Amino acid sequence: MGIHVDLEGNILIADRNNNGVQVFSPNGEYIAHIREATPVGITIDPKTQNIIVCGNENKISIF
Amino acid sequence: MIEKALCLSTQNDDMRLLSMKKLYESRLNYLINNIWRIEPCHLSLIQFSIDSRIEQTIYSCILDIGVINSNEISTKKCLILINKKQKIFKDEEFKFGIISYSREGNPMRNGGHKNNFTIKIERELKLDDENEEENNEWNIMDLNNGRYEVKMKIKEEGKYLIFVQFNELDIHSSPFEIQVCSKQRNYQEVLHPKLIFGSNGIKNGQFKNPRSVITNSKGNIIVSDSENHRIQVFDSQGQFISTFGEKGDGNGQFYGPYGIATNSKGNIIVSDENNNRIQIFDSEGNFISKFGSEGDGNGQFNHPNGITIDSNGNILVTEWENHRIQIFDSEGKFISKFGEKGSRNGQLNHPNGIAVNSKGDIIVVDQHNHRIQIFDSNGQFISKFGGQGNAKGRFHYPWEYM
Repeated sequence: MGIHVDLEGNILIADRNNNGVQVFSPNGEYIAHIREATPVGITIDPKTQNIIVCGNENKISIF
Repeated sequence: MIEKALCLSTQNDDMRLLSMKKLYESRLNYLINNIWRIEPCHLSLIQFSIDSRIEQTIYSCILDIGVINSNEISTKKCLILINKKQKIFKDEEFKFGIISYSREGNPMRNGGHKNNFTIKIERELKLDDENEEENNEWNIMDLNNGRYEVKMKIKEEGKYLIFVQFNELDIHSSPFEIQVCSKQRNYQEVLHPKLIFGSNGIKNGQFKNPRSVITNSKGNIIVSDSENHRIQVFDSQGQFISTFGEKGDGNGQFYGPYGIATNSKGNIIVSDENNNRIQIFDSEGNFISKFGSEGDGNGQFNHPNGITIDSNGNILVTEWENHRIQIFDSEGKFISKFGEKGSRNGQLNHPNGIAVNSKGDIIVVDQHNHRIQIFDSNGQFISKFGGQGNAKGRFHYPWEYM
């Protein structure tokens, strides 16, 4: 699973087999689920705040 | 006695007056000739006592009458007043206060020194390709009671040092550090991608099992194209810019590149998973150095995958088969390690992702334990969350190693 921590400490996990990115608070409370097929890597560009995900579909998705 | 004499005289009784004359004369003579002792008596029985409560009141009354003060501000004694808990967002005004103190250490009660204060804003990690001047705004307001209010607006996110100077000299507790953030996305509102690019293949812009994606200071997107054994770089719109690496074990070659990270110099650091090493490249993809070899000793690797850089520039790596985290300095010199195979707190079962938050805590994807573990910067276990499942906040089956 890919991981990214945003500037506020929220934790984003690219969970390939759950077909989505799960977002947690800095303490690990569930916040949101972003649907995406088989995500593996994840990052957020600090300037644009774009969420960028790559995965087993061999493509890059920008949210 | 004189009163008594006058009183007698008004009674107009001559006989009585005459008879008393002798007595009064001798009395007056005594009074005239006597040498009076006017020093106070020293008697041990006399003492002065005061109620201590009243005494304090008297002192505080005296203090409140006023202070001796100069009109000169002491640079060393001035204080900065800031709410450390406030979130500072880019392009959004925030403020802090300055309390001016005199040389005598008393708070100034009057203003008038506004123009002696200057604010300097310095970005902590300056990147080469950024302009010197960021044109951040600030202004200072004289509150006319010895206090001043500074309003600022910073245009880019990041860590900044704020210097508060009086006549060009730093005041007490200057500079102080602030973190400027971008307005946070509301993740619950994120639904559909606005841009998708790439497909299965070996050409530029195509991928075979990309593992990690990061952005650099220019906003370019860098992807580890694992089974094509290369790194690809795209602009923020997904236009192909460049690629580096090919299959092999020489310098700059890869065998399943996995994690990627950039440091403050813009270097690209790649975990070369099946070569059991880390390679460091410049921002253009030119090979600089490498470290690590196969094994389970310090500085050795068994399938390194997740990689991240902490605020000190140290390199943190997860190892799929060694079930541990290793920490290296920016040059690749081994510093420390933590973790071992297991499912108890602090133990790991095939970790494959790592990140560091702004507090320096280390967050690890503990893949086969279906959980995320949080450690402090020394590797001490703090907490965990997750668990197996496909409900919210849980993680579905471990994904098998390929």
